[in-house]
Amino acid sequence: MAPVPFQRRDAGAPSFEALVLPHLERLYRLAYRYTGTSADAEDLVQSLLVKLLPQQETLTRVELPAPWLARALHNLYVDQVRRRTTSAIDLAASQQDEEALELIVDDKLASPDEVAEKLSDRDWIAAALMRLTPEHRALIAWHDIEGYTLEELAGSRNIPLGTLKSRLHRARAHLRQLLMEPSGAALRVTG
Amino acid sequence: MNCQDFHQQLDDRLDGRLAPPAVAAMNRHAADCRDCAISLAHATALQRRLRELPAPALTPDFARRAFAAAHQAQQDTRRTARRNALRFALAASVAVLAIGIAFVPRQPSAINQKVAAAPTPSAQRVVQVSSGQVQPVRLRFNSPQALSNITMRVNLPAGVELQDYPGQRELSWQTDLQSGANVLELPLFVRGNGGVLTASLQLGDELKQFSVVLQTTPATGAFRMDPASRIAAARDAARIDMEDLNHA
Ligand SMILES: [Zn+2]
Repeated sequence: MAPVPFQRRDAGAPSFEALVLPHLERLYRLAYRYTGTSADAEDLVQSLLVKLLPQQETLTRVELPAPWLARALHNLYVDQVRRRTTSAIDLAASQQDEEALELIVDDKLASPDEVAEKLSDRDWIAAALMRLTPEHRALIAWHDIEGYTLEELAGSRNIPLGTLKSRLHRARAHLRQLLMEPSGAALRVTG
Repeated sequence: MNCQDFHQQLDDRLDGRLAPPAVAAMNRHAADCRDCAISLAHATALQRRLRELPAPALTPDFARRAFAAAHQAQQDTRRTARRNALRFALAASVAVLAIGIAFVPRQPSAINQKVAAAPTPSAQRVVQVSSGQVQPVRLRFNSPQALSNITMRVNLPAGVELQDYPGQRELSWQTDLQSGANVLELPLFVRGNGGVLTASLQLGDELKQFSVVLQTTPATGAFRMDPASRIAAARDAARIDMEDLNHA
């Protein structure tokens, strides 16, 4: 027996693998929605595991690991893209994006039938998602694609629910706007 | 309801956050307004399509590779951190404090005055202890960062025992160091003439050893305790109070 240990360790704690493996597939899917490619999704999940392994003890105590892990992935992704896009130009561009969202210019809109047709085209929707800002895409992926709630996201950084709701509103408006652009205009932008 | 109201409530409706009367109001507006009816239809269709977007399955080998890489990364970080910490920092200091008793550098008394002002070499300290009673000797280890799985080994000279471990000259155990000061308090019972106590910290193949000279003085009335309070004092001493370290 140790006469005077500085600190006790928990011998019966579950392994990191046991804690995370049941959620890995869903985390990977979320990462794929965020990044758009399998390789980038794998990199993001890999970075998450490296980051979480030292926090294993915290993870053991988490009541609902699924949204906790998803939130950690979300935060990691947002941190990464923010670090990549901290140049003034990028920030200005995304700012303009946000302000332009509510302006939908009538004469540029595709006809309702054209929109309906586009909505049945998965590739068109996937392409439009990739044209959103990373943070808008992440919000839509979080809520509209993978079905996590805004409450589950708000828990992480004490973001008010109202703020998340208005961000999601802007993200959706932007996505709809992109989907309603006539094919020619969209091709010009993406190509 | 006008078209603007309709669009403002569209998101809440898609998320099922809208109360039935509000849903009914939107439906009434959409019945009369072709544009809003189309918006609702498109938004609902988009919502459904988003849920149906396919995603590739995880590569079968990914989990194994990813967990292995995470463990490897952690080991690399730890190994570097430990090595650096032991080499550059733990070397710094083991301070020995015996409560109520001052340090005496182990030098001839003639040069004592000069040496006392200079920083005392950390390798060897002298602490005065009284024989025939339990008294705490505190070893303080400073570490610039947390270190885990340190093997702590204490070797006692003949005639010195650790309270509750009678007759044992060597004790070792695994422990962790927190960042900053870590105090190990040893309730020592000195029978004989004292001697050299060594404490070593080992991490992998790195070893740091410290020795302390226990110099006995006859027990004085001020330090003598009755058996009951001696046990209580020993119990207190065996506890490492991390909170106190902030004030040390
Ligand atoms: Zn309307």
